[in-house]
Amino acid sequence: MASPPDPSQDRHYLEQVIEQTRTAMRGLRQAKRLIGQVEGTGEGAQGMIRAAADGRGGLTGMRLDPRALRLDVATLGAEVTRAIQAAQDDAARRTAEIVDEAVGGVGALPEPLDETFVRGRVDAAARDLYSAEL
Amino acid sequence: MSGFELNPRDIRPQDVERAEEQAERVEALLTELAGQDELLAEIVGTGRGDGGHVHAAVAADGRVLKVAIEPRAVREGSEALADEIVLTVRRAQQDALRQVDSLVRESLAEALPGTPLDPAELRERLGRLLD
Repeated sequence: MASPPDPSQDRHYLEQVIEQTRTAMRGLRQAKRLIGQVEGTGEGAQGMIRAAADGRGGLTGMRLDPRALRLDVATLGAEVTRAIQAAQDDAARRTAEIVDEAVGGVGALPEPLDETFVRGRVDAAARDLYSAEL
Repeated sequence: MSGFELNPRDIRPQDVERAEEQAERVEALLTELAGQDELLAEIVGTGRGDGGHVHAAVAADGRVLKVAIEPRAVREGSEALADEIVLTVRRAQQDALRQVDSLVRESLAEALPGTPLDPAELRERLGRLLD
């Protein structure tokens, strides 16, 4: 949406901008809420190890089947690592989807008005004053 | 610091000059930060469980690089070990965050001397923008 060429359209334009901004903010708030709810999951050792991660990469849960403890500790450590990484990757993927969608919504915002808009309006006001004087 | 509120009436020419200087330094900082990706990539946060038999290493963004488990950590059973792993990874992530913050704090102090900016506070402030 381009800036209004006609000063009489300014109010209408402003209302549209406000409405679009509100919609974008709603979208961002929604995205923040959804990211807070993201849970990624991952597993290792054929499902004997399960990990959960949140949208910020934090480890939120870890479950070990008692049978996993029969693995030698080097393998156990590697499988635990694999499960956590898979959970973090899963959470990152879900978070990125939410962010992409939210950013797409923000992209619809109009360009901010710049000094040429202000100058145009000042010139118009000056012209009006001038012609009124005549 | 009074925050970001500013009354246009209070702006003096020297403030504009100062802001321009700051903008130049921030520009320089951004160029420098682009080069600091390597420094960030080198950050490894580490953590240990309470028993000292579980160790974790994470990257600057909190991604787990390695969890190492010593034989003695297994003795307490699977539930205790799972809890210990969660605790260890959280500690490693906190350590990584501390290192990232200190790197950012150094860069900010260099770019904007005399303007104490706490990365943790900045993060919180940004987080509140949408509340």
